[in-house]
Amino acid sequence: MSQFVFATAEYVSGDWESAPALPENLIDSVARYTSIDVAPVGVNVKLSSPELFDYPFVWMTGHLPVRLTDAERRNVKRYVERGGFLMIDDHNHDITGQFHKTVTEEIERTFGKMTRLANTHELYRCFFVFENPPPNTHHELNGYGDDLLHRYLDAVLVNGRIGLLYSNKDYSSEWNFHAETKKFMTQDPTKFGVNLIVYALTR
Amino acid sequence: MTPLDRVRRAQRWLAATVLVTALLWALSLAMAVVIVAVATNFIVPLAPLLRAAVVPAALGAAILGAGVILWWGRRARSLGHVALWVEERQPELRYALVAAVDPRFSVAELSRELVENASGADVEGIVRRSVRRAVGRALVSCAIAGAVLALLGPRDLLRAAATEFARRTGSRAGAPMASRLTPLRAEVLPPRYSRLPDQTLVEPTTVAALIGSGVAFKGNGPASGVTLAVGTDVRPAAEGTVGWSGTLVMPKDPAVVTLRDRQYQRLVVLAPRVDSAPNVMLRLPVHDTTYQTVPRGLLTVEAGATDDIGLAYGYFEYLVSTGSEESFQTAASESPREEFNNARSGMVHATINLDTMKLVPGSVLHIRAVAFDYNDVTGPGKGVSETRTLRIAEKPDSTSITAAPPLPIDSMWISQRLLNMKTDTLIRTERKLAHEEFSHRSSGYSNAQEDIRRRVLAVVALLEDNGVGGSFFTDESKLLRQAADLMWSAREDLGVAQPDSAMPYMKQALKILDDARMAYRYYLRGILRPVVVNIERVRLQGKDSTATAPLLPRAVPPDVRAGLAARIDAAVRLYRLAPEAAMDTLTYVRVAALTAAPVVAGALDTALVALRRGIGVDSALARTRRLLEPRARVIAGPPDWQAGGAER
Repeated sequence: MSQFVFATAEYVSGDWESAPALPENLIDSVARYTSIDVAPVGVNVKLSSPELFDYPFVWMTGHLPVRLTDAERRNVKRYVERGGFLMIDDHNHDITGQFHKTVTEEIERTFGKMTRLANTHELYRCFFVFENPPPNTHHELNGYGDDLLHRYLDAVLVNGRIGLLYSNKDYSSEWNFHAETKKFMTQDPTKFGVNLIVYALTR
Repeated sequence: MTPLDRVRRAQRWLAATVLVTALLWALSLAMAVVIVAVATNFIVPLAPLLRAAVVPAALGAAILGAGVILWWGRRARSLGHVALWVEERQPELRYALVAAVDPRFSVAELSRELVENASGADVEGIVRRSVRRAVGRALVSCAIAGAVLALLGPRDLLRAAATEFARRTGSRAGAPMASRLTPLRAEVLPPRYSRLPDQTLVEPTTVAALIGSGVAFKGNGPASGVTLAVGTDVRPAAEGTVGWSGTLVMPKDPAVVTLRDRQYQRLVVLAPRVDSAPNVMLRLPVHDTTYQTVPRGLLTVEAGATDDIGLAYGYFEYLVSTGSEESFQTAASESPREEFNNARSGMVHATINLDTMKLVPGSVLHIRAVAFDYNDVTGPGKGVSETRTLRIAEKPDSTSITAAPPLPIDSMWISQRLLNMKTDTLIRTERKLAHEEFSHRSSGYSNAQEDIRRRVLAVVALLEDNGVGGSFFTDESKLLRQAADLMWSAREDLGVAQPDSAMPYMKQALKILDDARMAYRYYLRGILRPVVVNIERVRLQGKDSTATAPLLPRAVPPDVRAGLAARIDAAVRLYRLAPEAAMDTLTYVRVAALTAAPVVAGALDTALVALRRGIGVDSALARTRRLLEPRARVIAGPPDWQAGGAER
């Protein structure tokens, strides 16, 4: 069985590298809570490259407007339809922001309208069980962005499985800290990240 | 010719005229009745009873008209009456002609004066004028009625009237009413925005039209009892101008319309055609660009757009974002609209005044073209082009943009060029210089060459760094490595005071640097340097408890093609027992295939036509079935043969 490698999506427009500590943190969490054979270091993968298909789970985030190139759009569509899991997180946590507007436009252009993911979905109980999903972040009400608690996540479902998950909850800010900091926290906020990866690898 | 012969000939002409005018007036009157019926039908649709009465009324009018004319002309049968008719029109004959044709007297018995008088009668002239007048009037009335009728277009009404008449007379005879679903017509009215012409399909099995088109099914006979059903939506037919009529709107998904008339049923497939969104291609700017300094002046942008129906308008969208992290601003703007006036292709041009875009170092300008069509049913269809991204580099380096090799390469190229010139001068002045001085200068140039080589290798290291401690070659780094190797050789020769030998290497190295300088502009966007996690140290050290839900097998999605194949097989089995039912089943399969497997839907259409005609049924069905067979697996080569194994 091959090793799980955490991949960060690299796209031509926008600031794809806006959460540099997040990969390390989620890799740490996967190792901390599961027996998944995880690579100690993540990779950056271009959305337009064939290497995208080497990674079952890809994280994509940013603050700036996202305009996919035709090659990126084609590749992402194939990736999602063939069993990949692309997590897109709005680093602005702002439904009026340019990242949200442009990336949702790109998603709808590529896949059609997204489905609102029911809060009873197995994503919220495939490893850790979340009572009031989706888990909130400390950043949602920090005075920036839209200052809203986002009650649902949206998804592109492929034969009933999540192929693309979209969040306005700003997990990119919530999980963008050095993994060592976890020992000072009473609750590990990255647990939902473990669920995402477990879901992508097992469902 | 005797007066008797002349009157007899006149009698024949008059009889023929009576017959001809009777026929012409009969025709005129019949047409007049139809004209009245068509005109009335335009204003108020005729009731079925009145519609059924059109044909008998026209026939009655014709018979009546012909009868009146024949009655009026009945005296043409008598020779005496013909002679009297001539006498009426030429009184000066004073009954000479009547007496001359009296059968009681022979010519010999008549007085010479009377015969001469009778011979002077203008029988032919009177008959000619009369015939011309009578036939002319009848012809004119016939022509007028025909022209009016041609303008009104009575064909549909006549067909319906004849069918209604036949149905009513037939029903009196106890015969059952025929199916009102045959003949059947479908009139397609495309959405107004498409500006496509209306279309009439005769005996349709499939109606393919744009989504939102009006589809009017029309047939003969009264509407009572005729229904149209799409799924669970059943609606009765209405009385049309002629026969029954039922109108539907082309749905978004393929569907079957079931037309029913008592025990009769007919299926028609509705195959919706999607109005595609415009296709937009950005032509200028050609590439994404990163500017070293804030660009000024005008930037021309250009895009092409095409659409399957017609384009409405297009424009460019500009999006400028400045800043980073959570403190940034974006500003969106648009170029003036360019109208296409329903053309199928067009170009959008604009000029961006970069001075007004408030660009600063670190800004990103996104440009894309947008075009809309006129679709007001499911749209408007919006097409967008690929986006061009123009970045302005920041100083100092930001996380988003890092300016890397271009300046070092430029600088190295200048240094190498200067060194080459100096070395060349040294070679030319060798005779004028003392040996020590010559060696000293050559040695100095050797050190300078080594300095340039190290700078080249530094750039190579930067290019080959993968960010995680490893390295890889790139085309650029290979080129620079080649230059570094040449510089090493040059440095060696310069070190032993042999600039002549060093010069070819130096020229070669300069050329490679020049190529690299001209060919590449490296802007390495933020490199995310991953941190290595100590997996073993943290493995299963998490304190939070889990309550993992059981992993259930994922539901296997149904195999659509296999489902279609099974339904076709069932229909083929049914065909022997109930051909009509089998064809209906295949019609439904075709609707399902229109979405799931369009190629199979096309083949099924051919098969249905073959089934109706009874020609080539087997081959058409076999072709359809073959299309649904799983594709053959392609094996790269023969399987490995394990030598030495015993046969089993």
